[in-house]
Amino acid sequence: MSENLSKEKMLELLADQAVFGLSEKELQELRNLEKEYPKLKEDKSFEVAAAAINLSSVKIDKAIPQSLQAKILADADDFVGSKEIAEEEEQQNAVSTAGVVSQAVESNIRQVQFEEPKRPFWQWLTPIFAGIGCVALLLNIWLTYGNQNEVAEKPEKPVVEEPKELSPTEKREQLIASAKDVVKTSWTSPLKDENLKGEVVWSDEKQEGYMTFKGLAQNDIDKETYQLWIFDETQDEKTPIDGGVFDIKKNGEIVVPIDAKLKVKNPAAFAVTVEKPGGVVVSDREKVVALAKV
Amino acid sequence: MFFEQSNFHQTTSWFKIKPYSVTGNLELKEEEYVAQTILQRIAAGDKSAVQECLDTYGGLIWSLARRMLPNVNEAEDAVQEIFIDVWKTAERFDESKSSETTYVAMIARRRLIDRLRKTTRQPNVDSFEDILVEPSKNEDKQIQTSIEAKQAAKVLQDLRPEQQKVLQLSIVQGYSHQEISDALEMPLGTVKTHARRGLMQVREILEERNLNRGREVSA
Repeated sequence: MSENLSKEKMLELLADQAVFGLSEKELQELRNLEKEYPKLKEDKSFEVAAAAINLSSVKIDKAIPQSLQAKILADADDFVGSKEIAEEEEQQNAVSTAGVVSQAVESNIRQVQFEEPKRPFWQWLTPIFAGIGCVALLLNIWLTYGNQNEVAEKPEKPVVEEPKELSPTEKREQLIASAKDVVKTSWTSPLKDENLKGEVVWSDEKQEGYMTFKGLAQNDIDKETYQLWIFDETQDEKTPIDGGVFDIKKNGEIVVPIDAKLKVKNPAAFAVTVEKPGGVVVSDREKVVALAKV
Repeated sequence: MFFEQSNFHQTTSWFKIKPYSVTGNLELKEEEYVAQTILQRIAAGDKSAVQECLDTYGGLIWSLARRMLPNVNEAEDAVQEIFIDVWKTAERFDESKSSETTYVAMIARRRLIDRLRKTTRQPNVDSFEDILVEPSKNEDKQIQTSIEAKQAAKVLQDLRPEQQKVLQLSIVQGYSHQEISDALEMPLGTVKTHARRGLMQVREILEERNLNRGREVSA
């Protein structure tokens, strides 16, 4: 392969890697070319460009779950701890190699070695909660068994309830009440199914919306799923925005949140198709079960 | 356009660092005030920056993972791995090459692409229950993006529609070239060519910007 061709090939592989990732074979090819062009090996510009494109259309509408935050903080704890140990070891090695360890340094290092490692506040949460739990348990036992006569006269302790996650129905109502630009339109059935009722609400400002259905048939989740498509002014009519997939598992009125994969602007219509499980990138629109024009 | 932009988010903060004396004297000497990004602070061992990193980029990384990966559990695992990658590589972050947000997105994409290649892509297979327990939206949260993203958006607007479509499906939604080829009924080679050409145009503009920035600094 001539020099120009091999360089071009390497640039292609770097571009493919940034967009799609590489197969084992392609990766090996890239490794071989990296030996010829070590400078390009360090070139992250393709990945930066791909990340920039990704960011240019990212819609940050999903708050990270609290349980996941807790796991990440625990990982952070391990990370910081291991980094500290590594740094201490590095410092000790540097000092002993130099051979100029002063007494002051030695005493400080000893102090570092024997000091209890400082723990981040979240590590203290478990023992604190455990302690509070023990105290509460003892208090409860005492109130129940040690002081039964008095307990009967005392008013019940107030129960502190965790903030309740709103249901899709409540969220829908909240959206209608709070957004100024809500569009609302009713479903019609291209299959002339008279049982199908319901509507779509959508807000461009909040990039949030909900579908309500009554009479939409339950689907066999192993064979098919429903998928929403949003036709708006940003997209060609042939490639509407994927509004997410959903399953109908029960009869009665159902509220489904819209999960638009791209930013929606001025929607003109919403359509629900039946697709293979998992959904599709582009629908062949063979089976459109619900349509709502704005 | 779907590449519409929001505000640029700057994550630099001012804080105090205390240099460690390598001569063996652990007495802390003069304090210096420097502007450092979150990642630079993590690299320097500032523990508070780790929490700040989660607060600042948690929503972004979670959104990228949820869009590209098939289910919640897998997205959660990926997000954990991404944060560890971000912390470990924090010292490699170079402000002259990209903004911090773009760097974080780049690290996230690497991990997400790795995962995508190992799994059969079945996008959006949330069960109905999964959708119902989706965390609520934080409507007031500012969308974090970067100067590179703004420039990328401008370039993308001028690309051919096929190139836009391929980049949108591959980069934004994480579909493989084969899936895009099948879906758009486009030869595999053409899909790759559209992706490469579109990406190279964005890359050129960003490189140009970096060069100009370099000139401004040296002048």
